[in-house]
Amino acid sequence: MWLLLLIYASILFFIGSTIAKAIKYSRMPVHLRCELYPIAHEVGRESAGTYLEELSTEKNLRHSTLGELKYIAKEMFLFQKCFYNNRALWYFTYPFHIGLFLLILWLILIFSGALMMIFGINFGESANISIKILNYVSLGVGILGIILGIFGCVGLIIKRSMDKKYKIYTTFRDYFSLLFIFAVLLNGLICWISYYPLNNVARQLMKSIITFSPGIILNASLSIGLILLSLLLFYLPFTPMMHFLGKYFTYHKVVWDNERKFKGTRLEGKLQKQLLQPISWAAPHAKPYKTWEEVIFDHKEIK
Amino acid sequence: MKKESEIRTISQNPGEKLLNITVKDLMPLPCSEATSKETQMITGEQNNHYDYSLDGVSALALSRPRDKEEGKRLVQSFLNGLKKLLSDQDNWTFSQPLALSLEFCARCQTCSEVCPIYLSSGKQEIYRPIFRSELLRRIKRKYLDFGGNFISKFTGDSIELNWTTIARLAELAYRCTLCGKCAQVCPMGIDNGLITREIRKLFSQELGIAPVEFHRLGTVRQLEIGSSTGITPKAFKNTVEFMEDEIEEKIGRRIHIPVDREGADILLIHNAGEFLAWPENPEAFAVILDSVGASWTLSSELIGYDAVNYGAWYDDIQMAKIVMKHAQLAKYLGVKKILIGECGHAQKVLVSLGDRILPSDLNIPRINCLSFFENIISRNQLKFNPEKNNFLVTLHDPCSVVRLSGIVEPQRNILKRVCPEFREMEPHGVNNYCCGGGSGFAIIKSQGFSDWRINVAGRMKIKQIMQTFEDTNPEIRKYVCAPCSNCKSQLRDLLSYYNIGEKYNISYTGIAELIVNAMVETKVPWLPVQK
Repeated sequence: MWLLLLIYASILFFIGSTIAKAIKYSRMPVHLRCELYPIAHEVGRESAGTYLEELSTEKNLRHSTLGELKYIAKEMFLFQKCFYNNRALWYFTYPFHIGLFLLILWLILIFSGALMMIFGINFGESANISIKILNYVSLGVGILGIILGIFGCVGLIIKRSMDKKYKIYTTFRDYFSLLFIFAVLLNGLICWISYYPLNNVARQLMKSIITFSPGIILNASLSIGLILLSLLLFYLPFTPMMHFLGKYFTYHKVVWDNERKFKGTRLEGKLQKQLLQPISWAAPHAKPYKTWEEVIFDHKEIK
Repeated sequence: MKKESEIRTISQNPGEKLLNITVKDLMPLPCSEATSKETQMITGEQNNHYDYSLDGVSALALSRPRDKEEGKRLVQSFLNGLKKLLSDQDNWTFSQPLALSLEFCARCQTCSEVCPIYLSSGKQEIYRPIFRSELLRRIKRKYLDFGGNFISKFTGDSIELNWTTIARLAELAYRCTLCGKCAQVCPMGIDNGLITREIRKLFSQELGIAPVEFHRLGTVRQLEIGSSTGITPKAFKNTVEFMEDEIEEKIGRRIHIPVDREGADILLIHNAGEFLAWPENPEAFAVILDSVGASWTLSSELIGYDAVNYGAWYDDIQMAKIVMKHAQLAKYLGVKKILIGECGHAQKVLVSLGDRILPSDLNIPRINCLSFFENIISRNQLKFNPEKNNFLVTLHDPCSVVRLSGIVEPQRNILKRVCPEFREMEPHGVNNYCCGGGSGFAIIKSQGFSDWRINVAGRMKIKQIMQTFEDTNPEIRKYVCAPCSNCKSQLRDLLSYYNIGEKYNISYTGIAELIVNAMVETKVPWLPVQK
């Protein structure tokens, strides 16, 4: 019972913290443009250039969501930037992250399986062929995820502790974070071995979480695993490992933000309000100004 | 001598250099004949007054505090400034990108693999892109975050904030050219260049600390007398007459250069440095505009004849004031567009940064000269004999034009049309390397900084130039085209310092000069014929 409550609390805390962080960043003021080219959403100019190359200043750019998705997919599933510019790290960071993605996929498959069980679909010996395939796929995804995750995690710990260029910048909390994830993954592997095939008990467990039905009896390794995973969910929002969220904002709100300001737009309205923000910088040339509006209208119109 | 500096050493050994760098430590150049000299020695008298404790040179010429109390006051001012930097009110201009860059760096070091300064320096730790960012992060965590002081004792990332830390951090902010190369390869989209500029801004807007060339002799002078070059409106008008005379000598007919012409279509604003150092560039613009019958004008009003805006490199307040002045002038003259001359940072400020500063009634269209020229050429409005440019030409891509503003193809299309022997550098376009004079480095002259700029910051660019032309005969005439005043200034210094220009017949030029040199109408070579 208490384990189930811990799982609920950790999931709620993680989702709540993620949403809170997303709201915090989305509510920050519109900033001055500091985009970097090429920009993935510029139609026909995904690899170089921009609408600013055109002489017409009246039209805004043509936005390609497909261009963005292609870029994000390459970056997410291939780690292109790291591959081309920092191959030595890629050998570890890539399997580590892909391992985590696969484990998330495994959880989704287990969740789907649990829902099917709730709706009466049989996963036992007499299950139909498509259910069996789903079961084998999730087995493969899970075990591959754990193996890649452990390999990458160990590699990153070794890299950070042995390679001088990482060691200097790696703090206690970085090691702690990696060791924490390693502990969760290692425990997952132990569970896999002790419960083989883990899928069945995982689905049962997921079903009890969805239906809030305590009573499922777990062995020590799975109980420890669930506690560790819950604690990890409590811990993650306090670390830079939330970069999956940060990355959305750095790309969409900074690096790719080349939206031009036009009269009467929402962007213009927001910026007008921001000019009324008070400022309190103390240097002699900044001190006379009380708002940003005073700064920009400091000089008289030329007559 | 290479020294592995850990971040925590930043606050230790006041007065002692954190890094002692010599020419032997630097990245080797492909040509053994390229000369490198040791950084200019700081005199004993200078050493008594100023702080050189980062790496033995100084962009800021910071005076040491007179007593402990003054030191403490400066530390407190720094912390006040840091709070303002992180505030949505005081720093709405960049608070979101700064917060994201401070929070989500994974310290994967991918940025280090492409930073020209870090690589050129022989991978000195203090020049690593994340060194100064991480320092700022740790200061913030310990001194501003809830429970930071307590937590940092256990996490091993504690930084002592004293005068030495602040002085070294201030100088570190001037060991990065803000070229954006690191941000371009960052898997997280973190911008160490942006953090660097924010540190510069903190020092300028809160403590009043900035290079004298940027502030007192830069933006302040520009706002007061019209140009950071010292050119006054009267001197500017004389310069225009001089240019008309020179053009007449070169093309055999007199061109009238319009000044303060109300109602013209285009207000052309050059980097005023061109009038002093390379008048052939604004003269070439005049020839092109006159030849196509454009309706254009220059301005002799304060600031109207100088497109530069050094605020872009260190201070939002100064930047906003100057960009407003440019827009007000355009409105006053009633022009339809502002045409920006060959100046990288002016392009970035007027087009990108200024877009969200200028009120709508002043948001007059601003266009880049490269796109403008490309348009003229593609419509066959000028007659060319490309054979007149019968020399090798390569293109240096100014970071502010290419990576930071996205103007990539127009300059290539122009050069392919007027220079038959055009060849690219590697890497080029948005993947270019900075010339090493970016973010104002080319104008900082004091305290051994120029030597550092050329030896370290510009080393990657000179290497690229050598590699681009390494398969050619040294006697053959060669040009590096740099459509940016700041970059030209750096290239001038690089070619001369490394003794490459004369030995291998390599010179530099803007793009307008190459266009006019190839025009049928031009009787006398526009570019000086070299020995």
